Amino acid sequence: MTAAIDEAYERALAGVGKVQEIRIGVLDERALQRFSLVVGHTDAAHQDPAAAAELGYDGLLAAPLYLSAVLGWDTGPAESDLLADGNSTTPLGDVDVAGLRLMGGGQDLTFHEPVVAGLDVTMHAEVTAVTRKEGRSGPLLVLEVHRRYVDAGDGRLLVECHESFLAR
Amino acid sequence: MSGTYPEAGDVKVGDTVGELVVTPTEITLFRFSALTWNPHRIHFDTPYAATEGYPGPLVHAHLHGSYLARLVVGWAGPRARLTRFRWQNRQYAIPGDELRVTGTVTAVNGRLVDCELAETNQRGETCAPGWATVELPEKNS
Repeated sequence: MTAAIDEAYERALAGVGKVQEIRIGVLDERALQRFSLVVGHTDAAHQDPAAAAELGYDGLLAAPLYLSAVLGWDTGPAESDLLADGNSTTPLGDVDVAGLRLMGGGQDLTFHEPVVAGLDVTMHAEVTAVTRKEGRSGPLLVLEVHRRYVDAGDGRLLVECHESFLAR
Repeated sequence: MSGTYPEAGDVKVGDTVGELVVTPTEITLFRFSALTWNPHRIHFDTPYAATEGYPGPLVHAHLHGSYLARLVVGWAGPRARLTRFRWQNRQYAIPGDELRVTGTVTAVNGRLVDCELAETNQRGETCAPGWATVELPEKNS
C-alpha cells in the first residue's frame, strides 16, 4: 500500500499546476431541471423557465452545485477502460491517480454570477496541491483542486470551486 | 419579511434557517450518479460497497452538499442570492438513513447573512457541516 501511495504521489505531483480548459458547452434546460428535481429544488425558479424570467434571470436557474457536482463533461471512457470500481483512471483530468480510491472531502464555492440554462460554459481546472499524509488506516493523499467556470463567450467568471479529495 | 421569505433587516444572529429532513433511497443515488456521470460502484452497487466495508451504497459527497445548499436557498427565497457555500464530508450515509439538515444565522452584514449548517443522521452523528452566505433582497424592493 505504501509503495502504491508513494508511486501515485509522484505521478500526481507531475500534474500539479497544469491548467486544463474543458468545454462544458451550452447548459441544457432539461439537465438542470432533472438535477434540481433529484436534489429537491422543486421551486419555480429551478423548474419553470417563465418563473425564472419573472425573477430577472436569463434562463432557468441551475441548482447551486450543478456545475461542481458533474464529474465528467465529455463522452468519457469506454466501459472497458474503467477501473474495477467503476472509476475513470483519470477522474481529475490528466492527474494520474490510477489505482487509488478517491473520496470527495468537500467544496468551497463562490458564486459570482447566476448560472442559468443557455449559458455557454468553459471550465478551467487545476490540481493545486498534492499532500501525502498518514491517516488512521494508513497513508493517503490529499488533492486540492481549483476550478473556474466561465462564460465561454465573454470570459465572465461564474463560479469558483475549491475541492479536496482523499485518495487511498 | 416578504411573504415567508426574509428581507434585509429581518434576521438576526441566532435565528434558525429552518429544517429539512430527507431520506435518500437507492433510486435517489442511482439518479444522482446518472446525472453527474459518476460510474463509481460505491454509490449504486451494494455487494461492491460491502467489499469496502460499507453496509450499503454511499450517498454522494455532492448530494450531502446539495441538501445543505437546498436548506439555505429554500429559506432565503427566490429573490435572495447565494454568494458563497462550503461544506465538508465527515460521515458516510446510506439509503434509508434519515438526514436532518439544520442551520443558524451566525453573522449579519447589511444584506449579507452568514449561516452555519449541519446535516446529521438518525444517530445524531454529523455527516456534513456547511457554511453559507446569502444576499437578501432590499426591504420592500
